[in-house]
Amino acid sequence: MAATTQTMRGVTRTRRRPFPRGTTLGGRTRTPRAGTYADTVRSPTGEREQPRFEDLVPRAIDGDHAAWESIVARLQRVVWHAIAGFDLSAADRQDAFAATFFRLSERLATVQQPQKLPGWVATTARNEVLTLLRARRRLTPTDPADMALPASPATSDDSLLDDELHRAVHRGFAALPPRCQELLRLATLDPPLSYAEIGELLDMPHGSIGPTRQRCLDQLRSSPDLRPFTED
Amino acid sequence: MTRRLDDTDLLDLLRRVLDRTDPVPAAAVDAAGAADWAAVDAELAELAFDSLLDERPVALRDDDGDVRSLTFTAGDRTVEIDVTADELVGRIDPAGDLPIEVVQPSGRRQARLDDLGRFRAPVGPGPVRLHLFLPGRPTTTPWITR
Repeated sequence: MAATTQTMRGVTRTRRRPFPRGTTLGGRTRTPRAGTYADTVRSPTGEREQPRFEDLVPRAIDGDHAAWESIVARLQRVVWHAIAGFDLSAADRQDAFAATFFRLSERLATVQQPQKLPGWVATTARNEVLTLLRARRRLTPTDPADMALPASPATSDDSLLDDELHRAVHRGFAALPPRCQELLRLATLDPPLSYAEIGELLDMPHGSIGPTRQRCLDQLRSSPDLRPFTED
Repeated sequence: MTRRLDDTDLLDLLRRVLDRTDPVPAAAVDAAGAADWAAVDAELAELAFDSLLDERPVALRDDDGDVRSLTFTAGDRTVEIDVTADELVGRIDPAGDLPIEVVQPSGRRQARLDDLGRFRAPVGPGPVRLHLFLPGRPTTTPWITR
């Protein structure tokens, strides 16, 4: 099954292997939808203007190392938090993180919709984790969902938090069900993932992401840890 | 003192908390930042077989579970690679006087093919890839993660 794709430099490249499910960078619609975050240069959380993937990708393909580093900087939290909910050692999580960017650098020339990069790297990162876990266990999994364990390696130590409110958020978050933790992590990302992308990652219907996100936030807000900080 | 924590406040707080308690390690960012070199202009060899993905479940396999075998195609050449914990052994067919390089994020190592197209190189932990200096057509395998 050969698919010919047009690269950013206009060179035709043939690839026979399709990306894994949900990781297509070049879809049928070539025009970015109006109103996606990619159309705004202002980050929802920051004041500074952020470079756009549409500008960074062609520069990185042309060998501009600073552009590549900007791409890594903008996507690092997406990749890191997309692989938080697995039973991985710290070293394995770092390997999967780096491997995701290796994959991206290999595929950069075939990126047709740069605004979809956050979703693509998140999916790729989780596939890298599954490959690592398979290598560790030397088993053929029957269902990838079986390999995701409710481990949350990063929610034990709050000694770094000097703010009482931050400590309370940390404790409340750690007490949430694993599913809520995963979803809320993904909801904190910037550039943001769409509900469709989050649904794809968590294997949930994307219509349920909004309501579930709301329920998880309400649960966090009403947790005993946070009660002292919220109005009745 | 209490205040109203709306959804935006709460997610913003959570973002800050996660950045303090679960930051992206600087070493991982450095490795990712070095990922772009040399990959851009090289042709990507095509994965044809991966024992990790294509083989039968472990119970049906021979007692060689520590070796991952991969096959790539690059032009009209076939590249077979066996990866163990500390070594990469392979064969390129058809053979020929072809310089190759074993690449890891920590560095690269030249290797030579013997008359039969075989090669062998020590590798450290972490991902590895093979550069093939095919005449006029530098080619690389994808990163092999281990």
